[in-house]
Amino acid sequence: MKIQAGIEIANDTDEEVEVILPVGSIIELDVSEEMQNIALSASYKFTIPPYSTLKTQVEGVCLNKDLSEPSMASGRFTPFRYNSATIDQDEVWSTVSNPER
Amino acid sequence: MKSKIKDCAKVILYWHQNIGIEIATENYFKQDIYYKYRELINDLHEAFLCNEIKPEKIARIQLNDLLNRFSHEKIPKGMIKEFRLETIFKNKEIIRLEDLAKYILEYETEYDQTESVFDFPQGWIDEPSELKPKSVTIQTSGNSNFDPVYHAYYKIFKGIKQYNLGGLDLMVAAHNTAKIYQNEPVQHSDEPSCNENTNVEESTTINNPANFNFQFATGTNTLITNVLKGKIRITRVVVGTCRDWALKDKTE
Repeated sequence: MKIQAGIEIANDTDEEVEVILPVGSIIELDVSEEMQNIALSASYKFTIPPYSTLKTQVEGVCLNKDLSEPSMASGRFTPFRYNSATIDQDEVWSTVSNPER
Repeated sequence: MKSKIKDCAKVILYWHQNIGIEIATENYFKQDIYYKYRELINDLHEAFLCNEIKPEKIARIQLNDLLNRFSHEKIPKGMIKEFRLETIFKNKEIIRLEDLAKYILEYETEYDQTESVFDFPQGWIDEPSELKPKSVTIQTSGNSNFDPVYHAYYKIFKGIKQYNLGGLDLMVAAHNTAKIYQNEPVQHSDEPSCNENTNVEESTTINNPANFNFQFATGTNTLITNVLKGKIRITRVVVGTCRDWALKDKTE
């Protein structure tokens, strides 16, 4: 099942900024909330005009099968992406549950 | 071990700065190679001082690149003594630059295994290099709450928190998920330890992001790189929204 995430990004500069969200980009939630982190199921490209804020939605799959589905929970982008050109829920669960040793 | 490896790298650089430059001046003065050599030595020295280059890289450059022509050169005994390296080359009468480089490479793997923190590779913001899978086993001294161990290992993420970016909670959740599916004990910080004997040594395996198939999402024009370079700010992220959240929120 896909999980929606709303994001707001502010451009405070006097120049237009292009923003790319690679496929698999990961958003985390506070671990104490025990809710699923997500990996974006597609890549996104936005252009944010000078001195403006972009408000948009992206879509992802869950990374942690054992945790509950988030609902209007505050999240944070991480510097990581799930490394695959196509994001398949079962494959993601299997990989995260069985890390390479 | 860690300090000896670092000292070997120091001696390599020290040798080039003092003796190598003299040899180069004598043999290659005003040739292209002379200027390239000087520049390389200065760059390596500066990077080493700023902790931007690891001993392993210096060893590889010594054995493979421009510096390799000096690899058979002997290191004066005084230099070896000064850096107290005689104990690691006990049976060698003559110690050459290549011996130091090979020693670094031989033990660097072991040194890596005992490193107790995750670090971002150099240049990760602009040109993300591929993260390699790596696991580290850390003793937890009878405490089955692993959270502080994860926090210490992934302390690098504290530095990017000011940009509203995370990573630590992701890694902790991934470890907990893996433990559940591999039937290993998972204990959270608010639960008391079941282990009555607090002196029992326990350990936990910490996996690097690549073990979970995570790689950097950085590079030209990416969200993370733009944020870290101060071009944009992430002001809000809400997970588990309804489909028309952005639209609804605008009209509110």
